[in-house]
Amino acid sequence: MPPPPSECREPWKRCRFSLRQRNGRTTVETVPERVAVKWAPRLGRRLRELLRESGPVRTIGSLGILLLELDEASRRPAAWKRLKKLQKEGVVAWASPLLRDLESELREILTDEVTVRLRPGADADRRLQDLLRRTGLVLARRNEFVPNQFVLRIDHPFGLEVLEVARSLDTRAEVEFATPNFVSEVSR
Amino acid sequence: MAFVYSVNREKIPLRLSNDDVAVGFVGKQADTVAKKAFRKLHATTKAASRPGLRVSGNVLLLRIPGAGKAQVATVASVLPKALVARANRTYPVYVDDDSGLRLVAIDEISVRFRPGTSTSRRNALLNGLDLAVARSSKFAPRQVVVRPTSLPSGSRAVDLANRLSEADDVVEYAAPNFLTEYRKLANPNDPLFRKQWHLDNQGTNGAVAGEDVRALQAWAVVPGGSSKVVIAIVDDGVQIRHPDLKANIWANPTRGAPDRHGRNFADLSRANDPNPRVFAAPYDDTGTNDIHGTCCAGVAAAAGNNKKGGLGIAYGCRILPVKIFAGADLAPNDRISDAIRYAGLHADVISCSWGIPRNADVEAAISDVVKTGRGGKGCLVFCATGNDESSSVSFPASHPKAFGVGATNDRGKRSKYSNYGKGIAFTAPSSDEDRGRQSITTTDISTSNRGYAAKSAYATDFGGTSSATPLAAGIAALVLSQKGGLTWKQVGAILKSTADKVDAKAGKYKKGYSRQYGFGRLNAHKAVLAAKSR
Repeated sequence: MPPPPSECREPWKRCRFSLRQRNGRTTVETVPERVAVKWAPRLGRRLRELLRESGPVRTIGSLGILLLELDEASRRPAAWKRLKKLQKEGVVAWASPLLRDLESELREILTDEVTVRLRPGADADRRLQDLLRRTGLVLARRNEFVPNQFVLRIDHPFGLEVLEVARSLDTRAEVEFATPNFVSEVSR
Repeated sequence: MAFVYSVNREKIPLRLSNDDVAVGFVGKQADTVAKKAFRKLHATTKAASRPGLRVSGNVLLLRIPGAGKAQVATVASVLPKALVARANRTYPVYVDDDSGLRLVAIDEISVRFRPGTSTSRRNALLNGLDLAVARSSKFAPRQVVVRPTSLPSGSRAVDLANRLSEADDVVEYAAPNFLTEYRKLANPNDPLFRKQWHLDNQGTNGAVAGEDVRALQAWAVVPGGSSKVVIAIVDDGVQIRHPDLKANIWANPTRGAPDRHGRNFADLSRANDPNPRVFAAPYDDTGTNDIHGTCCAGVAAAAGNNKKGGLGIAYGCRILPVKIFAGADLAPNDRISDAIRYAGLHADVISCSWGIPRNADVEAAISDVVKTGRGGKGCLVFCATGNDESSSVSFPASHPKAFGVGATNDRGKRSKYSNYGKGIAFTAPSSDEDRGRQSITTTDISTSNRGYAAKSAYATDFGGTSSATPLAAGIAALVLSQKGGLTWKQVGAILKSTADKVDAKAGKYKKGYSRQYGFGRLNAHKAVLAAKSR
């Protein structure tokens, strides 16, 4: 079985790992040539200008995300260090390597959100508050249709950190499932 | 009450109708009298009662609740007064549950005797049952139509036919010479219907006739489906003012609900507007334009018999537009999942003509709607297997509770691109451009210079498993129109058991299942008949 994402310590290197789904597991790998970067509020244009030094940039306006192209392997470590610096300066909200699902060959963007469904039972709110307190995560929104399901936000994640958080949540007794709220590529 | 008669030792079940009765007229010009009675009743009865009113020769067929075995005196009050005296007897009416058509048991039985049967043996048999030959067949020398020599108050045609059949050393077959109701398999008046080979394949342009979903025959049983059955199109939006869709767009029954005609999960600032909105040159590119869902909606349920464009397989059902993409092939998983859950609140059938990486939340959403949709009977979720020419079925088609739909071409073979393998449930007709086969004609964005066809509100080059999927969803909607109480599993079982085992040799079906075709290509006619008989 591929190693857990915690072993993918260098996001600029290709790395393969498995994710638990409700019906079995899937395997994904990082796409080191592409980095998804979310700009901090009102700083999109500035970030775009700053990132151009690292490589070509494509804007996905509807999602507020930039896709940074790092085709030259030699430039990747420096680019990632720069992203970390920009995050500390408050220009970058989060950055993660693009992922590729090996089953479908489709790409996925790891955002700063995790979808969590608590096991059925009374007092979901109390259990949610308890979970937030223990994990330090923030409630982004409640699911409109499933009362015990929530989207939680991780504060300024970097690299594959969100995968680790989702994996950790998924093992908790009170959680039915936890999965990164990926932005998925769609085939039609 | 159930009756059975035999044809070639095969038992044909019939149900005696409690609500239909046939009246026979006698005397001079009895046919004219029957027609006159029909015209008068047609003019004076309410439109809702007219479907039961028919005339054939001297027999008038009436639908009167509870009048199943009534005598003339009982139904006389319904007949035009001046003509009552000419009505001399009633006939029982049976219903064929397969077709829903009615059969009037007049006093005649068709009998074919075995070769070499002597005249004396024939006469002995007929005399013993008080039957006499009414006429001989001009085309089959051993076949005659017989009638009872005395007419009791009710027809015994079914019973007598069965008794004749028992003499199988003499009789090859005997069957009541029913006066049978029929439905004309009229083509819809939609001008593009002839191009819609997936509905009725006539074998033109190198296609093989009959390689279709048997739509005409299905519509004879359940014409277009019910407006109470809703098909959700979860995609990049549906043009709700399209001239051939607007009549069938779902309207929220909750007064004042903001989601009047569906929801938009792609752009939450326009959450209640599911129309396509993003268009960018080149305007026929699916990846950058909201043009896909409108085509899918048309395949499922474009309006029919409205003298416009083409029509959908379930042209009487409703379309629920649920938008999840906007001008890009990217979508957050929680929005996709919620779109499915929203669809599950309002729709009976959900059509998903797209694929994404497998994801726990989307898996959960499908499980949710299958479990809780339709008041617990479960929504049916149809998903495209994908167009990658792969032996692996895409997600969510691979979800164990979704129905993965692949594509077959107009010659009844798997379309080259159509993904197959574990998880494919069945196939439905679609394009196969790699083999030069015909594509699908359906609704397209009607705005000028937008959509697959720049100058038309109809695309003639749609296809892929994207088209096969709403076609399958529409067939499920017809099944539910026929019998709304079925669970999702029951509908699935009907669709699987009635699918045609196309391309039997290459398909390598084992226990009725093929990795190429699943349980076969959907047959709408057989499916609605199976639903009817449950």
